[in-house]
Amino acid sequence: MTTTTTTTPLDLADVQGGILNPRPSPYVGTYLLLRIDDRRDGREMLRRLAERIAPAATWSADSGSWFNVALSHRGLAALGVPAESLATFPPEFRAGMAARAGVLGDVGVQSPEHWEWPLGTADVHVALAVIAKDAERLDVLLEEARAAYGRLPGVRLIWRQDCYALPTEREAFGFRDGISHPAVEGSGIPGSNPQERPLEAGEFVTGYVDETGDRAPVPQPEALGRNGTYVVFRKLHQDVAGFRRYLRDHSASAEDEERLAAKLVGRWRSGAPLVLAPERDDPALGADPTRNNDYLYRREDERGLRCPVGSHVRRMNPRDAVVTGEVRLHRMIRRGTSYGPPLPDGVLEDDGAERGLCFVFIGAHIARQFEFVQAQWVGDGRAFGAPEERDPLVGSHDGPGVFTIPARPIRRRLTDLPQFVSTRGGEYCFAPSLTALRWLADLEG
Amino acid sequence: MTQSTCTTTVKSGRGARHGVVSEVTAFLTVKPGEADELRAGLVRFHERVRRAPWQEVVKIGIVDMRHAVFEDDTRLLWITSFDTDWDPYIDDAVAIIGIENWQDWLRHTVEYSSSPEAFRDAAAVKRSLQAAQVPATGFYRAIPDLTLAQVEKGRRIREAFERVLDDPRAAEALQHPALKPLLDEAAD
Repeated sequence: MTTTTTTTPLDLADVQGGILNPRPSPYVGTYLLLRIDDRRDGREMLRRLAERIAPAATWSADSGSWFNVALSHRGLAALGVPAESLATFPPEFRAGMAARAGVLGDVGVQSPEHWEWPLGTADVHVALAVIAKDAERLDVLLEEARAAYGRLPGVRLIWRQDCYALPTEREAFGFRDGISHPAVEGSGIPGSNPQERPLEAGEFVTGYVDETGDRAPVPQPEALGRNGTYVVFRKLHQDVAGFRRYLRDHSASAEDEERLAAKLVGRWRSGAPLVLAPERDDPALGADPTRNNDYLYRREDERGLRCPVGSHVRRMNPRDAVVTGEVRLHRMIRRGTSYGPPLPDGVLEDDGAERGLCFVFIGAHIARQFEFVQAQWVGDGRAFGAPEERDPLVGSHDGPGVFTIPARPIRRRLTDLPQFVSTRGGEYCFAPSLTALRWLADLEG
Repeated sequence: MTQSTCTTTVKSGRGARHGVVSEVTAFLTVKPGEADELRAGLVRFHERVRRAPWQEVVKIGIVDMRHAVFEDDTRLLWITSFDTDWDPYIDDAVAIIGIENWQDWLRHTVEYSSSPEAFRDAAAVKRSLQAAQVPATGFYRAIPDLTLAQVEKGRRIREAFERVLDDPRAAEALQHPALKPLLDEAAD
């Protein structure tokens, strides 16, 4: 890795508050997608929203509720951003998620023609995240959001997804989520793994030195491109009943089911990591944010006898494990928020309800971070020395999936993994700085 | 100093693939009068990669690599096989081996040194390779289905099996029906 001699302080006064910070728990949220039919109305909406967005420098989860706004490439065009400026954005962002379906493994029944409307279509221009500590505050904030776009005939609300993070912080499969969070250099936001050096700010905010040692090109003009971040939004359906049946059919006891579930994920449902709790769940460890992500792989578990090499969490962040690639070039901030009613405990048959995860990626490099991890580490096994294997939890399989669980004296190999998670759609967006929101609002013509 | 990583472009072909391995073949132009310096830089580059411990070799993902200067010191042929598709991982290979070690020889090629980002931008390495890449018409690897990590594991297993066979009790132990596949391999 190259080194740098000078770094620019991260301008937190210009970054949207709530983007880089871990969300408080519990919380509720609503994702809104809007289409801009009249650029003047679109700009007016951004002007109103920008007034309501606190800068990261003064943002606090204690406020109880907040907005974040992001735009697709088509949304920037709909606002009247000049073509020469639009061309300075990275190619994968310009193409949009649907056009990158082949890279992401969104093929077959998961391909964009099967996505939930309007995801993946040219109508998605603005994504608005409305987050609050509780339903009452969310309603108030949603009313404020409506005030920003509601009386503008040139802006149309086209999609709404309500979601939530339970007090238990469990997602639909029953695992504690939102544990891992990288430290961002200069942000003051601590990482959840004390053994991981803070990542350069340029990994998450445009215009700063990143882990390559230098600065990536910033979309132009800088007033638009600097201090922003890319936001990848994906709606993922989770087959909870299918997951439960698989565990039951491949286990001799309830205890075995929990162990198998932990091996697939790399953590017990409580959040306790297998590296630190290899034999049995440790709920106190899982609930302790000062300990539940404090581990590496090389020294404790190089061969995956505790946490399988191909498990979900090890693929999403191999830490110091030996895999093809430089891990620090592929880190990301992730948010997972559940949607749909939880499947009641013990139910093994699908009730037909839509449930799953609203996944959000935050980073400054969609291709090098999100697409790389999705294509190379989730959707391919070569980097882990197991070409025939995919991510056992979220990977797409052409046929029955394979998963190896290292164990003494003899490893276990599953050869009939079904697909538990399916893509319902999504989009690539850019969350502009506060300066950029004003720049967009002030566009003329 | 500014630098970026490079995203996939139309030009960045993945190269031909055989099994789990992909190839990159690139014809670069040697800067006039700099062939000897290029050779010296390449020797240093190969020494750097050869010195890499096994774990780093797996991280880099380069299966094999050769460079040949030809046509009266005017052209450079670079042939490499990657454990994966090369283009998503080339930024990683540049970072792990060190940009200065790439620049040590690439600076003597026209494709790299004429790039506006050369010496300022790690992505210039990828761009210069993309500019010089020619898709292979044919690509063959004798063992197409094994990654470096699998080859290393195979070596470990072979060494372990040999130690088992060196034990005078091995013949008796391998009689168990579950060990028949190993017994079948024990004769030579």
